[in-house]
Amino acid sequence: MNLDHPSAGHRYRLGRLALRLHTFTVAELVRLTGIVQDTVYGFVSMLMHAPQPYLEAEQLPRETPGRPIKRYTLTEAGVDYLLRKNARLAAALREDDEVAQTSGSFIQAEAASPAEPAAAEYEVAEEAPPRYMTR
Amino acid sequence: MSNPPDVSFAPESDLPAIRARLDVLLLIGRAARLYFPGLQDACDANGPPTWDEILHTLAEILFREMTRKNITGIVHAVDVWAEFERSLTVRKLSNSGRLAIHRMGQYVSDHAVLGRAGIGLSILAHANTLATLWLQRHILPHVEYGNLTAAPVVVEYDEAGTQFCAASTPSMWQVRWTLQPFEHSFYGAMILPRVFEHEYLSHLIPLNRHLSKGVREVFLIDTLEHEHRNDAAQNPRGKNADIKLAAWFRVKLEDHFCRNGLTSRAELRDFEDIATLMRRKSEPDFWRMLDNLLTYPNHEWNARRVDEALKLLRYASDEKFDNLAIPWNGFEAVL
Repeated sequence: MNLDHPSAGHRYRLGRLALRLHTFTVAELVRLTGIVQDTVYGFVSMLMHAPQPYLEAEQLPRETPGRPIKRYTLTEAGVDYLLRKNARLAAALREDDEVAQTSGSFIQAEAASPAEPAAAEYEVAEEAPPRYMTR
Repeated sequence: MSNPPDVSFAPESDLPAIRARLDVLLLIGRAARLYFPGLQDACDANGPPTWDEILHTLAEILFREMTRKNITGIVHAVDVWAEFERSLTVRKLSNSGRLAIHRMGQYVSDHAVLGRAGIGLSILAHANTLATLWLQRHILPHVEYGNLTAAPVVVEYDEAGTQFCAASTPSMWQVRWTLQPFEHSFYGAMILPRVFEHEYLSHLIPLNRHLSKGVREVFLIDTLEHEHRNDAAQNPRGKNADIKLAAWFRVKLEDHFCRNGLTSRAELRDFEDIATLMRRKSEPDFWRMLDNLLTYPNHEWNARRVDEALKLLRYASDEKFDNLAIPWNGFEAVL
């Protein structure tokens, strides 16, 4: 994993986990990846607001005080989208593993896809390092 | 119905204390799995503590007591449970969360009696039988494979957690299941049939003994997960619980093994999503591909060809993937 490239790695990890879980909460993705909540919300929000819905949201009935929590389920379109997107991210990460380059290749890979939301939609606030970097 | 498969302890692990640890782990794991859907719903709806924090607390107490050698009989499951129920994490739960924990605890106390000593071996045997039945029903009809017989299981204890949590020996048609006092083992105890399904599909059934970790631990596990997801006969609540726990088990296991240098994330990444992608593109071609993989002749060179072909597909564009793999004409055709 190229440590110069945390956001590609984060996006890949989030996409991979969403594909494995299909149904998840934001808190669950945070706990499984160690990625900060804002980044995970950004990922979920991007899937929710895609031109065709990639996620369905279910509001859970709460017994304790606080804001209602949502549980999300990937739609078929969401699965297709994440499979395509992860293939591109994996290719970029592998290239980085091999040549230890900077983020240029990933940005090109994203920009090359007309079906993708603009790269800016993925940009997020400061991210914590993934857990595996700190071990 | 044939006789239940043999389950025995490896000679070096056949000690009363290790038998007791197995009983306690698998009894608590079974209780936790039975009432997991209720716990998950309660925690997802009400926020902290999350269900994995609850399971983490339980696993921590259980494995601490194991490694301190305080578990010497099945009845100690009740002590572990009592300490768990007193923990701050459990006390923070909502009412419905506490109800799920209470039900799990009731199950533990009902079964943690001297007359049930040896329950761990029975749970393993049952899981092994379930795994073979499920594979016979869902996977094997699609590939050219004869009757699947349940393999004897040998239980080992690995306190350092440096081995794989299960390993199979095709030449002896045997599964070695390892009790490790680490959190991933607790998740594994909750989804035991899945662990056995993986041992059969990834390690016992393939003719090629040289298949890479990527093929066995990613491609073939993805194959199982996808089939489970599509299994309409399974109760949806139970199915969703198993999918959830299996995903967490996988992540915890990968973390554990990456930390111990037994595999790397890059090595696993080369094989991710291919099974799912292939199956979504063409189910008949996916099954042909799987049949081809499971019956590929046993030679190191062939295993390398499989790796090369799968990596080519992993990094191919959509169009190139279709050109290479649909219709499926074998790994050689991809290369």
